[in-house]
Amino acid sequence: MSRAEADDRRILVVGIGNPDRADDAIGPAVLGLVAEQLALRALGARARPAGGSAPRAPLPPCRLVVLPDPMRLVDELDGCELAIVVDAVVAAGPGAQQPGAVLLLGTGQGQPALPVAPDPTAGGTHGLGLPAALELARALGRMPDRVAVVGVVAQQLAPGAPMSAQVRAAIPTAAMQVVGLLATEAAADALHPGDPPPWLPHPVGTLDP
Amino acid sequence: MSTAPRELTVPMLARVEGEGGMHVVVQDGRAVEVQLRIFEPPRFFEGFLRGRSYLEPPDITARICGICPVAYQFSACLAIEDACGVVVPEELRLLRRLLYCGEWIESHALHVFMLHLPDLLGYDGAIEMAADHRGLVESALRMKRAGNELMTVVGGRSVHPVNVRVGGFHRLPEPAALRALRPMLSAALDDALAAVPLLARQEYPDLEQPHLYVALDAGHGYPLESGAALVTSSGLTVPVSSFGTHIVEHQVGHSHALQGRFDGQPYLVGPLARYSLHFAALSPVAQQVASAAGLGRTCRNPFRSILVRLVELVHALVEALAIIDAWDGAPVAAVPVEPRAAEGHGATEAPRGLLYHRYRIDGSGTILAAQIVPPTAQNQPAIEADLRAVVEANLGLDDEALTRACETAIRTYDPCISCATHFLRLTVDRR
Repeated sequence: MSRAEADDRRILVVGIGNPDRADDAIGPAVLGLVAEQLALRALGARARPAGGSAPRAPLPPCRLVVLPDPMRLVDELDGCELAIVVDAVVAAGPGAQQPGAVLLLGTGQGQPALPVAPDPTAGGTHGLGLPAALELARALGRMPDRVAVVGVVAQQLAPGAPMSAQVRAAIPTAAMQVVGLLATEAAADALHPGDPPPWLPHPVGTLDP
Repeated sequence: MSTAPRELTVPMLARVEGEGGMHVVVQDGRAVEVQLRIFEPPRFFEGFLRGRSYLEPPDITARICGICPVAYQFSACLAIEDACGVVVPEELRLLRRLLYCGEWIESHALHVFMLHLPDLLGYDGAIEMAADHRGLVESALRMKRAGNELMTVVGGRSVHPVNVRVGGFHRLPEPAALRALRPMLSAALDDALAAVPLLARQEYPDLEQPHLYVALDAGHGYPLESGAALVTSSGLTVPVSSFGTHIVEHQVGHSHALQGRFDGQPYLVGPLARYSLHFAALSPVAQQVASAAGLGRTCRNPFRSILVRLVELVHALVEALAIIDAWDGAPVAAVPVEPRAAEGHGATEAPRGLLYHRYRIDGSGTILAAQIVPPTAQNQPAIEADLRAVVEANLGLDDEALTRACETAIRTYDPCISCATHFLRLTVDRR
């Protein structure tokens, strides 16, 4: 593997979900906006106008992958140091966040597992849920040093139904969260090459759209 | 004097595809009530399809299931092509068979090694099993990946393929891309063969069930991507177009899924039925695996279905390699399919069993009626019968052990309960 290929594998951004199941489409939708932002940043860095404001720092090279099945994540994590995963979250019980709320959770090698809700139906709509896929990766020695999960609380997951207004409104917030994590990585790498930034405890918190 | 009823409830069964529940009531040593409660999105899809173009079912119905989209696509294609009086050329049938092999490889590798095997080896799930059997889980992921890659090359992507259309494919795969799959498929075959001794030496509960077996005929080899007729273990041969004459779906109060019955009796579709009806059509390598695994020419024990799936996994890998080796391209990627006012029927063998589609279209190609009968709905009465047998044979077990036995029995069927929703609630309650 070339140095460039290894750099590309170092950071993985994943959107999980089924585009045809209402709010489960949030992962692919957020990845679309993140891809747009990455392209704009790359263009902006190359085309800085004379005398214009300083361009925003380029984001680090990364792979963007949309997965309908969280189990595929186990393969994608191989060789990865930082994974940012966007997925729909089913929040249940007293104190559950409102649909459209954006949550940020962290795990990774040497870190505790993601908190799994006692009701497994709150784990998502996939056969092998995201927490299970990550723990399988850990058991196989493929857990990245750092995993950030950007979760968007879903309202509905019915087959064929459109995305709810609340979750649609959360797409920019979730996408900016991903871009912010990448920017933090780039800044930390510039200041202290090879020394990753301090990692997220979990849960980090809720960001209102 | 009768004893107090014993009600068993398990709210959630893991490692199955679908959402539903089960309720068992035991009284006087008998399971007086066994209900498998499931939700079934295909019912909604039948509604979505009315008023749509006759060219749309392959893409729309593929969305019913993330595990077996190819099955939905090809059953839909066959039914529409039947209505329009078209049979695709042999090369395209073979390409369909190749894509279908990818789906079987992916689905069977997942079920055998990640969903069913943890029960046999005494683990809660694949994660716990991976701690002690890392190499086995790694090999399962390799096999699944081989199926995914095959689906990507032939189908355009590994889940919900986009290359399938009524009449054939949107484009033919490059022969070099097909040949490039060979090392991965060969390695997957080695992985599958290496697992045979481990599975062969496990202890399987004794349970012989007398279900009527139903599968497609073996006109094109071991039943898979097409078939003209259904065959049964009672010796019947029924044209696919007569599916509705023999198989009638009933609504039951405890389930959203309609339950199928064949001439009024419960029946079973899927690996056990295919294997027992068509052992002779398996490849020699697959037959040798069956022998090494301790299987006879038929199998009536649902707990041993993991061995049958392993045999079918080997068969699918062997067939995929053979089709790739012989592939010499096709003159066209698809043949024209003009609409006409008619009804068409199509059936293929999804990993979990027979999947039937029926469409009625008008002269302009608008769909007037659609019917989709997935395998798990057909198997529901047989699964309930097996659960009853498991409960009554294990009444001495405490609640926890009996519950686990029930969960294991359900998982042997690899139920794709909703083909889109993903959890089964199992409730076992003793009173």
